[in-house]
Amino acid sequence: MIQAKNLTKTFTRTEKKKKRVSFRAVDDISIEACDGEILGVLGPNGAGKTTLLRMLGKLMRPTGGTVTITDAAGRELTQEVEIKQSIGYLSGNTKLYKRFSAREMLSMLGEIYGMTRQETEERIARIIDILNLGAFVDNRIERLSTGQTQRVSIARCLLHSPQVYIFDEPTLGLDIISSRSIIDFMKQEKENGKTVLYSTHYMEEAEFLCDRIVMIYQGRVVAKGSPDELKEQTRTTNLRETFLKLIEDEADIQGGKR
Amino acid sequence: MRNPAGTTKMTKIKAIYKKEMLDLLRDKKTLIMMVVVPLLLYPLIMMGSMLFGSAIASSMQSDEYHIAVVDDAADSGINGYDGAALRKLLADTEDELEYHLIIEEIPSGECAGALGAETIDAYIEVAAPDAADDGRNVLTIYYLSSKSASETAADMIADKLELYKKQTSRQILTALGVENPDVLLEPVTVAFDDQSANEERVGRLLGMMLPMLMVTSILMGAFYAAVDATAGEKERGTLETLLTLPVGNDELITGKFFAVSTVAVASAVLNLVSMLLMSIYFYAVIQTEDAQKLHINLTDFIPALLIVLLCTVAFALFISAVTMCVTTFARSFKEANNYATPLMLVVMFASFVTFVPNIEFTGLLAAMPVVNISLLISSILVFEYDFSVIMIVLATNIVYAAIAILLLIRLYDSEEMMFGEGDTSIQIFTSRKEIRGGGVPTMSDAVLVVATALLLLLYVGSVVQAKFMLWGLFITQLLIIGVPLLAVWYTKRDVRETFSLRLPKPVWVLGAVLAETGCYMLVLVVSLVLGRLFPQDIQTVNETMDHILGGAGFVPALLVIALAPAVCEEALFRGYFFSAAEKRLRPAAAILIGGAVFGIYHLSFVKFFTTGILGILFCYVVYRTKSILLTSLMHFLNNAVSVVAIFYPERMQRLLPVLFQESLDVGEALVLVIAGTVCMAGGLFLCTRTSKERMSAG
Repeated sequence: MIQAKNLTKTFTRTEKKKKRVSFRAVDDISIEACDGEILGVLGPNGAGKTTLLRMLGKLMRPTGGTVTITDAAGRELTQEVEIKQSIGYLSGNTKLYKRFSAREMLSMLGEIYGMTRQETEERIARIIDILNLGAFVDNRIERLSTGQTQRVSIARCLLHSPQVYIFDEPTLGLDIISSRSIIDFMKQEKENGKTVLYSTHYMEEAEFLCDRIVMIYQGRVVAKGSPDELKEQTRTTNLRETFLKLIEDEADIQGGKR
Repeated sequence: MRNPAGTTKMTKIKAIYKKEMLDLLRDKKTLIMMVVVPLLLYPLIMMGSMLFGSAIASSMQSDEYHIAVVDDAADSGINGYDGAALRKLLADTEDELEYHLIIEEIPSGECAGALGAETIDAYIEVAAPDAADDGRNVLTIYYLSSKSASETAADMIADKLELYKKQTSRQILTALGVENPDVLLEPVTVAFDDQSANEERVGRLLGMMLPMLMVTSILMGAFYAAVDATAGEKERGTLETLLTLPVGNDELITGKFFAVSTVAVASAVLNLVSMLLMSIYFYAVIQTEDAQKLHINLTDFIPALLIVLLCTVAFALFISAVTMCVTTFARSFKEANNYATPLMLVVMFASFVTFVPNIEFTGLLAAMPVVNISLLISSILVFEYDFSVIMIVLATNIVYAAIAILLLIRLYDSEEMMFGEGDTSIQIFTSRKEIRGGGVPTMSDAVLVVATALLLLLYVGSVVQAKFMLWGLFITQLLIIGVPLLAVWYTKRDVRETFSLRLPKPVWVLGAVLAETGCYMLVLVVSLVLGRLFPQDIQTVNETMDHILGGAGFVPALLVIALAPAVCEEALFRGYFFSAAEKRLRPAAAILIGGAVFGIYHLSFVKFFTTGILGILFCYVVYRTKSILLTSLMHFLNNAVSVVAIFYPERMQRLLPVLFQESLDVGEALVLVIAGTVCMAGGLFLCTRTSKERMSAG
């Protein structure tokens, strides 16, 4: 389980005429995702999804708020290193070391994750089985196809058997076959009792995959609930329309405030 | 399955190190820089210089020089001019000299024309005996100093004329009845006997060249590894992957740092080995050719080599940390390469210290980065071991490396640095149509423009200054302002904003003059102190100045030395460079870097400090007032005082005795420092903008 309390992130941006403007990319967001659940984080571009997920994955330090992970044994983890140890993080920006083969990269990462050599080897053998990497596991990653590379990326997240997965737009720009491997993987891990956090712009994908959805707009949570609840709440028939309706309403409210 | 508590820092650092090393070694560029360059560089340099040397030798041997003698007007003077004897001497090919003079018979009136047309290389004119010169014959050699053949011919004629003088003296003395005229002509014999050991002689020669080669080559080795480990990681998009791993920034940086230093150390060791092999081969060649000259016992070099090795390793650590700091700012290989040029220039410049003659290797110098390792290598090659100095060099290099690593860890903490997508790209390489323009230049553009101006100064400036002296200096200044003007035009920047063109308030003018006066006093003390430490360097600076002035008048000197820099240098350093730096960096960093760049630009070790101080003050004034006109005025005043001091030294000394004497005692220096500080502080206080003005200026 992963839990975020009152997460806030303030950036300062240098605008025209050297004015330093600070703005809140994430503004007091509290969410939690449970074991055996896929939580979808949706929102338009610039809503703060990536910043939120980066803070959850401890890639970025929050300006305020805390992140806690409860592992399978029920221990509460708050230290940066412990949290990173329990998270498999994947985004469009987490590229692989192309000069290595998948096997070389995985065994090196195993060492960094503090696994023994034997543990790592066993785990890699198991992952090769699960993700069907056998045919290219010893080829340099730079020679692999996009789909194959994607599978190696998943293998990277799987290596240290984390409790929580954070996927930031993992299927962006992928063809149906490549994105299916990721979607299948998320479903599989959910079955295994893991926690999955997931952001996407593909509403159809989110609709059938997510158990619950958090809708974010301008750094704040504007709606929370299962896809069906959200549809009911907004009296729409599919998630795409739900999304549009929620964002329009919110923009109206904010416009009215001003 | 996993046990985070049991994973010690060391295991993680080791794991990161392993990953980085393997990553680096799989990159061809790093391998080439690390192995191939050092192994090929020195043999190539040696072969090149040998080929060049023999080419010059053969071209000179084949040469014969054509000269003419004009002695129509000559009649025998008090010592009896003997035209036939002179001609015989000049045309003599039996002497020891390897080159020949051929006398062309040219009518006396046509000699000047023939020299101009280069049908002859030089000619002698023997004038009638001059009563004012005790009735001696005056022999004038006409030649062209701009043509090397003509210059050589003139030198050879001068040598021959020496022989002629001796011959004439001998004849006169014999005629006077002196029995052994040669004893009278040369009453004593002077001989040289070099007592320094052969190793020392060879060492001194190597000691000048090797440090710079070593230092730059280690820098190149470290640079490519550092780029790969920092900017490369950003460019390939693996940085975020790295940040998902359960390692602290300190472990990450330490692992990366050790990997980069391994490459730097390896390239340092390979450099040493390659240099050693080349030296052995070189000596072997020389010894077979001329067994008399060199007796090198290689075992004598071993302790020296070991110390050099140790210090070089420490230096490799230092340079790795520094390059990593620099390259972390870059987001791609291309951008990182733009930082290479200035870094390379700074490091090379610092290593030039070995060319300063008679420099004393003191504790202070031993604490200066790059300078210390260069001097150490150079001093050890002449077998001067001072273990306290060696310890300082070792310790400071390690301390500086540690500081740089701490800085690097902080850089990796900065999220703007890691995730930032700010506009730092080089606009000059974009097609002009696509540039939106406005605002101030980007930092990369500023670095590129200053580097270009520096290169122009080095390669064009030095030539035109040697050739046209004061006018050359003026041309250099035009180049200095030309580069930023072109860049501003091409990238469509806001001219007013880029060059901080803003009218100052009258009270600021007062403040600027006051601050400049204070700064002048401070700089004076600094330059006197430095002058005592590096007397040779100051002397070179002064000689260069005298040469450039070359008898020019006061007004032209004032215009070129004081007014032109006040416009041109200000436009480049306080305008283009500082406006970019101020926007990108924190104010303190921008001001310090602005000052340092200005110091480097003056291409002199001592001047780096004095002009660096000035540069910092000027940057600060522009930072506070946004008016470049103030610093132009300050710059003008600063240089004008020096010009006046050169032209009217006595008057200045009478007017301001303290400021224009050769040396200062401690009390006077203290007074100057205090008075200078007070003036500067007061002046800067006057240069304050009200908050309203700050708002309106933005």
